[in-house]
Amino acid sequence: MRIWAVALNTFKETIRNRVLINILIFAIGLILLTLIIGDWSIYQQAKVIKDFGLSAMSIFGLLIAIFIGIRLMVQELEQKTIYVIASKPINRWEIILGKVLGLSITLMINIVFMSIALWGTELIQEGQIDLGLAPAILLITVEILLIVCFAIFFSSFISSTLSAIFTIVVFTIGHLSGFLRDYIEIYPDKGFHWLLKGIYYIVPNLEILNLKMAVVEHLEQPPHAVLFGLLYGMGYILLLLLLTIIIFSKRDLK
Amino acid sequence: MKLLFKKATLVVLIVFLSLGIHWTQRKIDQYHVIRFVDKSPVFLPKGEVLKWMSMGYRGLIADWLWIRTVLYFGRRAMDEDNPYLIYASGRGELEDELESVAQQPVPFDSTNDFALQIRNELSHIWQGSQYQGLIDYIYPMLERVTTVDPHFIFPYVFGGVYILMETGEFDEASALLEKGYQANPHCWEFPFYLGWIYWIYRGNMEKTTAYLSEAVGKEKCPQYVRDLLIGISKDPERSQFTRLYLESLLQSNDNPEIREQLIEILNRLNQSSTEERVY
Repeated sequence: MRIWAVALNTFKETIRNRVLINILIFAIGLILLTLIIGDWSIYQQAKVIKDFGLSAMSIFGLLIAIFIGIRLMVQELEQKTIYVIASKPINRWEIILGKVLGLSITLMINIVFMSIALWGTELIQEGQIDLGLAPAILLITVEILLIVCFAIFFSSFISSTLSAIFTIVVFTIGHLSGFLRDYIEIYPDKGFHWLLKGIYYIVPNLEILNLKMAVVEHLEQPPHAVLFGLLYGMGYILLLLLLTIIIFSKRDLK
Repeated sequence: MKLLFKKATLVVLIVFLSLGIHWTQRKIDQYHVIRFVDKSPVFLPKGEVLKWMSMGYRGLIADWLWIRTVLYFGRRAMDEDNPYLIYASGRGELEDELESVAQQPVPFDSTNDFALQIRNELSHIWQGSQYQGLIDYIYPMLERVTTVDPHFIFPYVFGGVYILMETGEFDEASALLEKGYQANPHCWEFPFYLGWIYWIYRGNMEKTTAYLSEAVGKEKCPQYVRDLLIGISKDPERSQFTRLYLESLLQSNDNPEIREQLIEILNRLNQSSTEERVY
C-alpha cells in the first residue's frame, strides 16, 4: 500500500512534467513520415513505418527512462525532500520500489499509446495491422525498464551527470555485446580478453531484447526467443533493484 | 505604456528575424541545383562499421541509407530540375556541339583558358549524363544498405535490375544479387533475377536455366517463373523464345529509351542465326 502511494505520487510527478507530450510528437511524426516517405522509399513504406515506429518508441522510452529516472532520485536527495518521505513510517526499499513502479507505469502508458499510434498509422496506410510487432514491443518495454533500473541504481550513489553517462555507457556496451563476444572468439589469444569477457558477462546483452528487425522482416527466430528475453531482462531488473535497495538502505541521509 | 513598447519591440524583432531567416533560406535554395552537379562520393563509413555503429537500430539506419539512395537516384535520373537530365534530354544537340568543338581547327587555341574550360565542362557533363553518377554512388550505397540489413530484399533487386538497366554495369549488379542470394537463400527472387540478367544481358542460357531451376524449387515462387523456365527449355535454339519475350516487352513499354534499346537487341538477334550473346 505504501509502495503504491509512492508509485502514484511518482506517476503524478512525471505527468506534471508533461512527459506524455512525447506521445503526441510521436503520432504527428509518424503521420508526417508516412506522408513524406510514400514516394521516397519505393514500395517499402510499410517497412519504413514499422522500423521508424519501433525505433522511435525505443528511443523516446530510453530518453525518458534515463533522464526522468535519474532526476527522480537525485532531485529528492539534492533538494532534501527525501527527508520528508524518509521520516514517515516507510521503509527505504519501499521508496525505491514505489519510484520504479511509478515511472514504469508512465513508460508503459507511453508504449501502449505509441503502439496504438503505430498500428493506427499502419491501418490507414496499409489497410491492415501487423500484430507480429507485439513481441518486439514487449521486449522494448523490458529494455526500457532495465534502463530505468540502471538509472536509479547509479543515481542512488553518484551525481546525476555521472549517472546519465554511466547509463548511456551501459546501453551502448549492451548493444555491442555481440561484437565483444565475436572479438573474443576471433582473437582468443589477446591478453586482455579476460577483461572483455568480464564486461560481456556483467553488462546485459541488450541485443537479446532487440527483435525489431526480426519482426519487421518476419525473420525466423530461435525457439522461445521472447520468453528467454523476458526471463533475461526480468532477472537483471530484479538484481539491480536488489542492489539499489542495499545501497540506498546503507546510505547516510543526514 | 512602457510594457506595451517592450512587447511591440519584441514582436518587431521576432518578425524581423523570421523574415531575415526566410530571406537567407531562399538565397541558399537558389544554389540547390548546383549542389547536385557534384559527384557526391560516398563519405559514409563502410557497411560493417555502420552495422556496428547502429547498435539496436539497424533497420532504421538501413531505411535511412535506402531513402538517401533513392533520393540520389531520383535527382540523377528522374528529377526534372536535374542538370544531368536536362542535358540528357537534349543529348543529340550536346553531342553535335561536342563534335563541332572537337572538329574546329583552332577556334580556341590551347592557350585560351576560357575555351578550354568550356570544352572540358562540356565533355565532363556529357560523361556525367551517360552514367548520371549512378555507378560511383548507388552501388557503394546499396552495398552499405545490404550490409547493415542483409534481409532487406528490395535494395538488392533495385541495384541488380533497375540500376543495371540504367548503367549496364553487369558485374556490379550480379555481385549484389549474389550477395542477396547468399544472405537469403530461401528467397526465389534472387535466383530468378540472376537468371533473368544472365539471359538478357549475357545470353548465357546455361546459367539462366540453372538459376531459374533453383528459383522454381523455392517456396512461394510464382507461376510465371515456371512458365519462363518451361518456355526457355522447350525452345531448342532458345532464341525464338527470347525474341517473343522481347517483342512482348516492346509492345507493353511506352518508354522511348527502353523501346530503342529493345529494338536494338531484337535487330541484333535477327541478324545472328546462332546467337550466344543477346546483348
